[in-house]
Amino acid sequence: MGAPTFPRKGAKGTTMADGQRTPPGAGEQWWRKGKPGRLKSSMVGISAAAVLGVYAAGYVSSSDAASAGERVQAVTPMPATTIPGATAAATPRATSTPQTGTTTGRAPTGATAAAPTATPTAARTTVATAYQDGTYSGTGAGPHGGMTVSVAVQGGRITSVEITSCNTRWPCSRIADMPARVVAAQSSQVAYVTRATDSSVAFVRAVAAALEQAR
Amino acid sequence: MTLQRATAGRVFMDTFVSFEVLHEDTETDAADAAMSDGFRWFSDVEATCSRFDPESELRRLCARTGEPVTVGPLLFAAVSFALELAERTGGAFDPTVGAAMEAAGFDREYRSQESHPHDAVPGATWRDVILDDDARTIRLERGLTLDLGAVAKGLAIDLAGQAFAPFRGFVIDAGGDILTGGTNADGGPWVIGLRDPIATDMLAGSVRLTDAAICTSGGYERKAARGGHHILDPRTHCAGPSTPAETASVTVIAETAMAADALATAAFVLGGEAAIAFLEDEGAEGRLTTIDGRVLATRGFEEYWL
Repeated sequence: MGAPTFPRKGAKGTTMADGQRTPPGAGEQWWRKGKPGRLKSSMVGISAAAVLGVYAAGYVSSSDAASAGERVQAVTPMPATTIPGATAAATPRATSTPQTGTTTGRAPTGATAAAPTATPTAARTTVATAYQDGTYSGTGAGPHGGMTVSVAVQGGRITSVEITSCNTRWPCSRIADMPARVVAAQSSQVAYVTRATDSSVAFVRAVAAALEQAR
Repeated sequence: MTLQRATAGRVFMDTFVSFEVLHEDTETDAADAAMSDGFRWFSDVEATCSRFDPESELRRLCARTGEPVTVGPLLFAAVSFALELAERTGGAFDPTVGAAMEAAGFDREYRSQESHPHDAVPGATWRDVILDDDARTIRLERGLTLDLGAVAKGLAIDLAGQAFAPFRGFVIDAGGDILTGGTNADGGPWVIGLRDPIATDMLAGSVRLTDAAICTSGGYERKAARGGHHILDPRTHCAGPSTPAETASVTVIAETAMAADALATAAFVLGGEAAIAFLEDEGAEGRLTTIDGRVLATRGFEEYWL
């Protein structure tokens, strides 16, 4: 299967004022191939129109009410499964100035200034454009054990990933295909897992730890 | 110009909500403002649609029976969408299961852990909710509790996503319900893992997404005090699918998180090939795993696999 093309925003078709959508060009429909014209009456189409309508209507709350509501929000640290970084070799779309990843340590400003007690840490990092060549070892822990991986980078690209030790309760063979996935994705960027609020993946953490050193 | 990655997270609707926004360094103020807007949408949706807060617009609506109540655009849109889905699923998805949810033990407000029981007549269904599109009113024919859990979080995600649309890329993750926009730092699609529903420390695989949402309904989280998972079959008021193909989890990809989340919930209850056919009819892609490990998927789902 060839890789689908991934259109940028605006390439998906145009949403009209009445919430109906004009279909995008056939070549751009990688995400619903062969099913054009279905959007108008599908639940997906209805939801898209609903979102635009509610957004256009604006906030429900007054500014004061919103900040009052925010005050009771608890602040919790970012879950460890959300791994920042994880960028691969530079592409034309990446930044023009090669730069290693550095945390700028910029303090949060306007992001949530209305509710000082609930201000999240609006962390901001400069995105690195490429990995530095070398071989890096990283260790990650999950709820069912940990593992160590070795990640090789050549020419700014991840060329191999090897699990060097595996101390999980489950047999390591169960993730035998994960190293190839990381090479294919050119990162540990399985940073987001659908419905993964309470579990972690030791492997992803280990690769991310290794790649942190490569930036 | 240098690409910047801004991240922030807070708790809304009993889940951790995180934003990641990629922007140029000249867009720092705009990105901060957009994040503030995004959190405000979550705050607004929660304040409007909470089933646990007696002061929410939803609860105030549910306190009135037999008369049309004018509601705001947000609540009307959420209820309207939920009822449309209920009709199309023949009640497999039903936003009036709130009372049954409370009976099953999902009756705690997550911050205070206080229970807020209120009067609801057993036996109410989605057919007891009457909408007037022109007047934007909702009339409840009998006492019932509306549960917009499967709709409201997705709507909040989508509204926040509108605020992030101007930037190069973003990901919103609300407890595993994820909306991606634009591209990642490499200019490619975002990569999202799917948790294996049986070996829950594992990934079943990963998909590539841009300008699309992915949500999973499964039985492995939020176990109620009495056992069972958090998705009730409205037709039986029992936890668990009543169909022969017992579902472990359903992952749905759609243009909006509102659709992906609600359709995943509906597909979980429908189960089996009926769920897959339903997703295809409704413009979504999906992947269903049964408790004995069988996998069913829509024809287009494979396009997304990494």
